[in-house]
Amino acid sequence: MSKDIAFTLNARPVSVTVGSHENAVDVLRRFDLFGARESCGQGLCGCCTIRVDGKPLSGCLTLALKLDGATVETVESLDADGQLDPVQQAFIDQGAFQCGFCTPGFVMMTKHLLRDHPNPDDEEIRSYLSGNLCRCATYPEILKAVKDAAKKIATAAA
Amino acid sequence: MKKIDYPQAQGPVAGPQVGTSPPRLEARRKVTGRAAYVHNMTVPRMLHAKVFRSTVAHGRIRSIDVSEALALPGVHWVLTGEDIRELVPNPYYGPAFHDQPVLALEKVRYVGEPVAVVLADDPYVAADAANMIVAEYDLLEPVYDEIEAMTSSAIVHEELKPAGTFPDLKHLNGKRDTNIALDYHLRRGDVEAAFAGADRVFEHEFRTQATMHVPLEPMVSMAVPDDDRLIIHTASQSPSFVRLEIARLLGWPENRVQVKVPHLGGGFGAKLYIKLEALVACAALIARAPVKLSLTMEEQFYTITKHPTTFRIKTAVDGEGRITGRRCQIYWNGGAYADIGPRVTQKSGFTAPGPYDIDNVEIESYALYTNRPPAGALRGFGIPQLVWAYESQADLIARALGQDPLEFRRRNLLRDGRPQATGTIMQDSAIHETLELVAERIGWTEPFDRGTGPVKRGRGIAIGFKASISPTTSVAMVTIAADGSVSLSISTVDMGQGSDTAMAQIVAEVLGIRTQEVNVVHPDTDATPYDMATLGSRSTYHTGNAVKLAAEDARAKLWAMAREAGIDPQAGFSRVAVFKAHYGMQAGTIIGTGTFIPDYAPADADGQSPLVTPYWMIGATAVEVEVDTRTGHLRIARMINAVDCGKPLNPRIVETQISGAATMQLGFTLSEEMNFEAGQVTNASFSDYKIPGIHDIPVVMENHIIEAEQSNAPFGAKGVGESSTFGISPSIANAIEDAVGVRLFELPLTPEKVLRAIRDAAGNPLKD
Amino acid sequence: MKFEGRFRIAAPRDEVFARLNDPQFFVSCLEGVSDLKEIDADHYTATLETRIAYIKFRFDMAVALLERTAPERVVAQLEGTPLGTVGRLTTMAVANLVDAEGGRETDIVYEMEVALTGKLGSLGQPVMKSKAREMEQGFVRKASAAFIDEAPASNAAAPTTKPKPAGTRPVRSRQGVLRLWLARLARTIAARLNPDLPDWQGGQASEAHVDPPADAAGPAVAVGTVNRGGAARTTLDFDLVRPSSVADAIGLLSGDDPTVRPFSGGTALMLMMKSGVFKPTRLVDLSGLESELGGVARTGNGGLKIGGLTRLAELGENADVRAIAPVITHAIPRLSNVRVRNAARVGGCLAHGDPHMDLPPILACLRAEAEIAGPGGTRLLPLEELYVGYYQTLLVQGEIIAHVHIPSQASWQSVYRKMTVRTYDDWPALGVAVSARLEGGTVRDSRVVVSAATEKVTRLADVEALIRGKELSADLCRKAGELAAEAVDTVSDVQGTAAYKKVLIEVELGRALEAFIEEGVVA
Repeated sequence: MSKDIAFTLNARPVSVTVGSHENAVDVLRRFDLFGARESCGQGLCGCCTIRVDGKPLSGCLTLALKLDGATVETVESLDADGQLDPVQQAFIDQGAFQCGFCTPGFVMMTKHLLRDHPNPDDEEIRSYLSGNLCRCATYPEILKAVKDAAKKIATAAA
Repeated sequence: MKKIDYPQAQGPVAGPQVGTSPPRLEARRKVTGRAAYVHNMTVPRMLHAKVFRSTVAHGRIRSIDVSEALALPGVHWVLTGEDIRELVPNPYYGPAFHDQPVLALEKVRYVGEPVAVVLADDPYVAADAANMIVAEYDLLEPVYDEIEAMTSSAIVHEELKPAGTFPDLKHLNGKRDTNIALDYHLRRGDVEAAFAGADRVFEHEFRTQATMHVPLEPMVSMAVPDDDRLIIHTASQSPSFVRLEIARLLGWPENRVQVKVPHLGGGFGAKLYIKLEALVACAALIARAPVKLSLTMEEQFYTITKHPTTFRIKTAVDGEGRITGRRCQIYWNGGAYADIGPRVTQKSGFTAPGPYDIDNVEIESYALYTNRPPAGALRGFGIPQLVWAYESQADLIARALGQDPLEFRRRNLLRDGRPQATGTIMQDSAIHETLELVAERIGWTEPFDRGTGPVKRGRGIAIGFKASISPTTSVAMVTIAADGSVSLSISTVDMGQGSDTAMAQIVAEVLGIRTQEVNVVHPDTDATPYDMATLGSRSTYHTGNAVKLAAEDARAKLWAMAREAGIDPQAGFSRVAVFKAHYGMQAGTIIGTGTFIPDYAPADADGQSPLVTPYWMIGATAVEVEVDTRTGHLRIARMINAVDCGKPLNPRIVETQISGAATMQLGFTLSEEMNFEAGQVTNASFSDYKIPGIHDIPVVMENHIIEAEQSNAPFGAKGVGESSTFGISPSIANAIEDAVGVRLFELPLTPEKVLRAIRDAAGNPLKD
Repeated sequence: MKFEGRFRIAAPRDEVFARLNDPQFFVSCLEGVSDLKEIDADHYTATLETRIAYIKFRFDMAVALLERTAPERVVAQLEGTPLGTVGRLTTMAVANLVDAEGGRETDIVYEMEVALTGKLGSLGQPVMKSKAREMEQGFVRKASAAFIDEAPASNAAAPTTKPKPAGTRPVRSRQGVLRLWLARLARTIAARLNPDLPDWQGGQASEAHVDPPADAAGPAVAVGTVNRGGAARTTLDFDLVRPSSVADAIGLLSGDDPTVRPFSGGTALMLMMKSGVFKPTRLVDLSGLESELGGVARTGNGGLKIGGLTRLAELGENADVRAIAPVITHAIPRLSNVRVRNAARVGGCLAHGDPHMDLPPILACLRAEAEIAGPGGTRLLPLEELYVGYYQTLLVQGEIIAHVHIPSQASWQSVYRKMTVRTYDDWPALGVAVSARLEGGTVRDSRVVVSAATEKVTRLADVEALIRGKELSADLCRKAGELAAEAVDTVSDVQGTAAYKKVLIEVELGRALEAFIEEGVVA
C-alpha cells in the first residue's frame, strides 16, 4: 500500500507518499537529506541513526509508515543555524573521523548520550556507542571527542 | 544567519605547514553529514540497477529466463552477458588479466557472480524483479582450496588472458588448463646448500582466511550517457584506471569518458581498479539512460575479498642463530578472477623472507584461480599474510634455539646498506629503531605479571616491511587564480586517509600559505591529471612528490611574474598585485605542473634488481595478551605499534592511520572470517561477520611514529596507511605461545582454536 | 552441511529396498513434499513446502535417482529453486542398506550433503540448517514408522540395477574423501542430465547454450508499466493496520495466514522483510495498545508485571525492575544496541524464538510466565516452555505475548553470563542464567538455564537437582558445569563447534554458580 504521511522533519511539517516496504532512510532521501545513510542494513552499524520522537533509532529498520505523525530529527538539524553543534566541533577538534561515512551516526548518538549523561566515563561512552561501527577504527579519537564535547557543552552552559 | 568563515590569506608567510596537524579540509562537511558521496547522487531519468547472481560455484549457463522480471511494472531492461556482448564484443576486464566478464558469459565461476542486471525506476522494483529471474546451469566440478587448485582437474579459466600492460605477464598469454594465474620466482644464493650446511632447519606451514574490507559505504557507481560521452560517478580508488579501462572496453578515446569521484566512505583496497563501473557503463549505454548501482552490504562480500593464503616456509639457521637460508612457497587463493592478485603475488611476494639479512633465498609465489569470490588488495597488499608466517616462525625458531625472540630478530634484521632478497640495497629504513621502540615501550626485558588462576599472560613482538608498488606515475597541477587563491588538482582519492589535507599541506608549505586556503579539486578525469591509483600507501610519496613539483613550478612562475613587474618575491608581496601588474587587471591563471615517476630497475629472471622499490615501509607491534586457559578467550591488555613513515606530514592523521590500520588487522586476527559452504559465503552480513567495535580495541594502545627522513620524498615523508597492520597477527600468536605454550598456525585466532591447542598440548583434546 | 546417521527397520533388506525405491513412498516420508511428477524412471519433479516459524518457503524440486543397486544402495540428488528469492538448494543423499539381526532387519546408513546458496544461503544458513536437521529426523521417524504400521506394499516397483558410476566407493569416515567422491558424482549427474556436453575435464565445452532473449537482435524489451514519482508498487506491498484494542488486534491477527503478523518494535521483522525471506500481506501495528499492554508494575506479592509492549530501553531504566530483578537491568546494556532497545518490545523479543537472545534465559531463570492473549482467550506459560526449537515457539497464529509475570524474587539471587567469541557486541555463543535461593551457603532451590549454544532456551533440571540441598563449593560448581555439559545437546555453527560449546557451558556455568559463593554478588 502507498500512503500519504505527514510528520515533523527537522522542525518543519512535511508530507510525502510512501510505500509500505520503504524505510525511514528512503523517505529522508526524498527530502535530500543524506546524513542518515544505510550501510549494514541491519541496525548494527549506526550510520542511519535518526531521532524519532526524541529517541535515537536505526532509520534502516524504521518502517516509513511509522513516521506518520512523528517528530523526526536528522544530523542536518544540528547546524541548522549555520553554527556547528559542540559535538560536531569536538569531533573536528579531536580528529574523530576518517572517511566520515559513520560520523553523522556517531554525532547523533553522542548528542543524545550527553543529554542523558552530561559527564560520561569511558565505560558509559563505550556502552552507549557499542552499536556504532567505524571501519576506519577511529575509536580512540571518538572517545576523546565525546569527552571534549561534554566539556564544551558544560562550558557553554556555565 | 552565520556567515561561512572562509580562510583568508594572511600575507606571504603563514609559518610551517608540513609537520603540523591542521584539521582535515573536509571536516565540516563530514561532521554535518553534508559530504558528497556517490551514495547521495541522483540525476534525472536515472534507473536503478539490481544484480541477479549465480547460485552455483562453477557451471555452464544453460538458460536465463528473464521474462517474468521484464513484465514487472517499473522495469525497463533486464540484461544478460549476451546483451553486453552486443555492445562490447570482448567484454572482459581486469587490471592484470582481461578475465572478468561484465556479466557472466557461458560460464559462472563463483556463487554470487553477476549473471544478469535489472534496470528499473525504483530500487525495490529492481530487486523484486531480480528475484524473478531464473537461470539454469550445468554443474561443473568446483575447486575452492588454493593448494588443490595447483593440481585440480577443475579448471576455472580454460585459457589465461593477461592484460597487455604488464610485460612480465606476456609469457602467460594463451596458456591453457591451469589455475596458476602467475608463478613468481626469486633466487638468491644457493638455498639447498644452506639447508645442507645448516645447524637446524625449520619447516612450517601457515594459513590465513578470507576476509572482506567492508567499507561502510558499500560500493556504488553511476554512469550517465551524454551523447557521445559517458560520465561515471563512482566510489573508486582509481579514477584514472577506470577511465582507461572503460575507454578500452568501448573502443573510445579516453577523453570521451569522464570519471568523477567525490568523497569515499572507506576503501581499504575494495574500490580499486574496476568493480561496478563496467557494468553501469554498459547498462547505461544500452538503456540510453543514467544507471546507478548501489551494492548492499551483503553484495560486497561477493565482489572482492582478501586473499586466503598458504605459506610454506623453510629456514636454515647456523649455530649462532643466524638465518642462512630460507625457502618461501606462497599460494594465494585469488578466487574466480585475478583482479590485482598477480601483482600481490609478485610485488609482495618478494618480501616473503621478511626484513632479515639472508644470503640464500628462494621464493615461489603462486596466484591461483579458484571458485570463490575474487580476491584483491586489502590494506597491506598481501604483506600481513606474509608477516603472519615469517614472524610466527621467527618465534618458533628462537624458542627452539633457546634464544630470546627479540635477540633473535636483532641478530638477523637487515641494516641499511645490506641487500634485501631482490638484491636491492636497503636504505632509509628504520627497521631496528622501529623494533627497539616497541620492545622498550612494552618493557620487553622487564618482569611482568604472568597471571593467576586460569588466566595467563604473555608478550609477543613482530615486525614486517613492505616495498612500494613500483614503478608508478602521478601527475599534479597547482593553479593560482588571479586573486591569488590556490587550487590543487590531483586524481588521488581521499577515502578517509587524509590525502587531501596532506597534499594541501605540501602546497601550502611551498607557497607559504595556510593549508586551509588550498582548495583540493576532487578527482575528475576531465580536470584532474593522471594518478596510477590510491593504493599501497603510495600517495604520500608519489603524488606528494608530484604535488611538490607542481607547487614549486607554480611558485617559480609566480615569482617570475613578480620579478617582471618589478616586485621582489623574496621580500613578501601581494599575489593579486602581481596578477594586476602582469595582466592589467585581476585576470589570468598560473598553472604549475609536476610529474613523478620513481627510479626503478626491472628484475631479472631470478627476481634480482638493483632498485626494486623507491622506499620501504616498516611496522612493528608488541602486545601483552591474557588467555583464559579454560575457554580460550583472549584479551589484548596492551598493544604498542610503531611505524617508520619518514617525516610525518600531519602527525595527528598519521597517528589515526596507525591505530586504524592496527585495529582493522586486529579484526582479521581475532574475529573476521568469511565462512563458505558449497562456495556460498554463509555470513555475508554484519550480524555474522564481526568487525571490531569500540569495545574491541585494546585496553591500552600506543601508536608511535619513528621519524626517519626518507630521501627523495616530499619533505621526507612516505606512506603509512598499511604499516601498522604488519605485526599485529604474529605478535598476538607469539604472545599466546608466551602465555600458554601453544602455537597457532591458522588465522583467525578464535577462542576455540586457542582452547583446542591448549587441550591438545595437555593431552586432553576436545571430544567432537 | 552434512548429515550422517543410521537407523534400523524391522524388515529384511530387499523389502526395505523395494519400498525405498518407490518414489511415492519415499516422498511420503518427507514432510512438505508434494506434487510428485515422474519425468522418467530416474527423474522426478516435486514441490517442497516448509515453514520456519511464520516464514513459508516453497521450492520447486528436481529429483534424480543416480543409482539404485538392489538391495543395497540408493543415491539421489535433489535440486530445489526457491520461489520469490534467488537461491538454490542441493542435496546429495546416499542410503546404504545393511543386513542386521541375521537378515531379519535392516540398517539404513545414510549420508546427506545439503548445500544452500543465494540469499537463503548467505543469511538464513543457521535457520535452514536447523530445518534440514528437523527434516532428516522426520524422515527417520516416518520411514521407521511405515514399516511398523504397514505391510510392505505389493505394488512396489521392481528393483532396477544400474551400473555403478566409476569410482563411487563410499568412504564414510573421512569427510574430505567423501566430498571428492560427491564431486565425482555431481559430474556424473551433469553428464547424464546433459549428454550433449563433453566431459568438462577436457575444459573445451563451448556449446553452452544461452536462451536468446525474446528479440534475438538485441535485449528483450520490457513490457511492464513505467512508474515515475511517488512510491513504486512492488510485490512487497502490504497493509499496515493499527487496532486500538487487544481484542481488535487478535481479531485482525487470527486466521491461518502466516503472512499476517503482529508488528511492535519491528526490528526483527524488518530484518526478515529486508532479506526478502518474509513478505507480509498485513502487519498489525500494536503500538496503539500501549495503554493496555505497556508499562512495568510491581505486583501485590512483590513481583513484576511487564507489559508486552514495554520497550527494552524502558525495561533497562525502570526502578522497580532494578529493585526486584537487577539481573535484567545489568544485562540490558549489552543485550542489543541503544537504538534497537528504543524500538524493540519485550513481547516481540520473546516471541521471536531466536535462541541467541539474552532476555528469554534471564526471564526463564526468574521463573517468569508469559501471559499469552489469543483467539482462544488468555493463557499463562512458564517462559522456558515457550520455546520448542530454533525460531519455534508454542505461539499460534493470532496470539501475542500480552504480559510477562515475574514472581517475587525475595531471597533469590540471579546471575547472567553472556559469552561471545568474536566481538563484544556479537550474538552470544552461550548465555547462562542462574537463579538460586541460598540459606547459609546451602542451595535451597535454583533455576539453571542455558541458551544460544543450544537450539532453544534449555532449563537444566539435572543440575538443579545436583546442587539442591548442598553447600555451594568450588567443587560443586565444577561438578555442576560438568553435568551441564553432559546433559545438553549443543549446536555447531559459525561461532564454534558443538564440542567447544560444551566446554563453554561447563566452564561458564561453573563460574556463574561460583558467583553465588562470593557474598552479596548479584549481577
